[in-house]
Amino acid sequence: MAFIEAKDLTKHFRIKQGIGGKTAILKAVDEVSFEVGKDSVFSIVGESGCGKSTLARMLIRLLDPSGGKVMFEGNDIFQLSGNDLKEFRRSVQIIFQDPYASLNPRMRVYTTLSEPLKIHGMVSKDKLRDKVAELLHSVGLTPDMMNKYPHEFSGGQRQRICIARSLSLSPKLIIADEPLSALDVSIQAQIINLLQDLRKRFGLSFIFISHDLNVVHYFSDTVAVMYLGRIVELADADKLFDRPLHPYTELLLKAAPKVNVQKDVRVPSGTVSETDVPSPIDMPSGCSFHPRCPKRFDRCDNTEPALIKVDGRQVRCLLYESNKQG
Amino acid sequence: MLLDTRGLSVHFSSDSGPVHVISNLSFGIDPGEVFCIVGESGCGKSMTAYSIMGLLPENARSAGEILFKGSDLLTLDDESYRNLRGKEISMIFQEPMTSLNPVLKVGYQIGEVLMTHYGTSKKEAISKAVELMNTVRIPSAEIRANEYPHQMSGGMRQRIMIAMAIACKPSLLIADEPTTALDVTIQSEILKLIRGLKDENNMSVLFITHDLGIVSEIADRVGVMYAGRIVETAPTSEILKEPKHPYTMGLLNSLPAERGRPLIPIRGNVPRPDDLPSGCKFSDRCDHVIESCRAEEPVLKETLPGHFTRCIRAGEDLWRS
Repeated sequence: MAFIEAKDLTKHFRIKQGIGGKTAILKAVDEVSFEVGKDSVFSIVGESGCGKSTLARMLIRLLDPSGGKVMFEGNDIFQLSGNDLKEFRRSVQIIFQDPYASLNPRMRVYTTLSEPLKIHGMVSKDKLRDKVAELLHSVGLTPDMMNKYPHEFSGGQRQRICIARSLSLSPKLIIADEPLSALDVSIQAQIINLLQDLRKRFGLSFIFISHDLNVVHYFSDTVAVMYLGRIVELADADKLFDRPLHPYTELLLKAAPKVNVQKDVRVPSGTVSETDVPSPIDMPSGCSFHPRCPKRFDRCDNTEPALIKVDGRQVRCLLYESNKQG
Repeated sequence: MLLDTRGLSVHFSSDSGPVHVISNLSFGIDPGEVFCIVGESGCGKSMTAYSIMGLLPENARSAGEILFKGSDLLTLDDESYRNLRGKEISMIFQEPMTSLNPVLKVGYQIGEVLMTHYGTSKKEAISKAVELMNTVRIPSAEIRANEYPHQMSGGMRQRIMIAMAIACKPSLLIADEPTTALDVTIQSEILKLIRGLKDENNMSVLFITHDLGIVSEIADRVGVMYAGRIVETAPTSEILKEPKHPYTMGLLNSLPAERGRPLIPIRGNVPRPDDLPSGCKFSDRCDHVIESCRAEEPVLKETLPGHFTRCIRAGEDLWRS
């Protein structure tokens, strides 16, 4: 049994176009299914607007889906109530992108970190200080920092506080939504090391959302690539980075800037493509990637590809239909 | 040399005395060269760009010289600066949405540069704008020239900014993190576009970024900035292969490479400009620090031809040890 599983998870938003305009349907997440095993890191990559954050918010039940379900340890999380829901809230935690916006500026670190412990009755009152000190220690901060306010910390330290808060209830799964994007390069490496270390120490599973492919390759076991609300490729991280199957994955990997010490591998000043990501309100027919795809052929603009199994992974592309496996 | 910055210093006055954001900065850019300034937030890289553009905030004070085609920009009056900006030197910014006027059509905004600098008629300027939009590969330019910025995607808006910046064929383009707000696929298109335009027009580019991957792909030469100073400058391939300053090494080591190999981050945090250590400004975070590092600030010394390093241990082989 999978640890956490999404089944045909869908979120459609109704949006009005302009004042008094027509209502349109934005398919933010469309029939997304995947399984995450215990003790593993599952990453979701894709460009802005591909639905990765909406997906994360549904996985932790901050948003209700329009369809489909999320099974956590065998239970549908949208059916949970009472103590079961409280238990789910304890087991799954989230870290957000912006550590400036996700800490209450008027709360001392001690209050921020002890509040979840009090709500869930995890620790008796006289042990709260010790527990907070222990949490700060586990993310590389010192216990004397608990009496400070968020503005007294740097971005990296604030992200450590957010991580400490997510750890406070001894969760089993942490969803990290772009936890590094707001940080400087030298600080990013500190936080990646911290997450790796916590993963080993507490046997945590991660759902890691990022647009930085180098970090994703470094940190994850399995990777799902999303494009306009759908998974277009899902594979083992090494396989995916070694040989991407979907043309979109290939495009992403090629575009990611890499430090290359071999001289003169600079970008050729070659042809610049004219297409941008289409609007999710006005999706292209057939395969939604076909207007940007360098490998498109006749049927791509009218046949919608299904997610099929190829070479032990899943890919949504007509190119691979003939070598489909059962 | 097209641009020659000599001993540039910038400080702000505050209640507790002057805060130095740039100290004794010297670098040059040759015609047709892409020079990258790389550094973390607060290192003074954007302030360097603003100094060249004459766009420093009111309360900033600068000293030193910025020679552009031989004349010192810091001594220019407002009128001459206005004639220069957008014509000889132009700049593109990180956030294309906030740098475009939301209530004017993009075609007009591009054309305005030509109307201002050359007195071109409105009709001609707008048809020129459409040409420029073709140059930056905006599809159906004629129609899109009549659109407003909010009708365009981030990538297209940045292309509009670039079209505006190259309208007068400037000799120097300053790009301040132009791709940070964009997705990777769009980023690679914009980088290709900038390089292509540079080659076609023999333009120089001052490119500011925090991403060493981008440096590797676009720069001819790199200056690494830390705490308002250049700590190392060298040709791109050399600095990435043989870094001499521990900060540059730290940045390279922070990047995820091989799976499973733990990253080696730089310890501590980026210091605030009003709270710098004495001696070498990187000494409190440096893994190779020795006693004499804290005594006196090292100067930028040429360790190899064209390779300058601000470190007293630059002669040793710290990178491989």
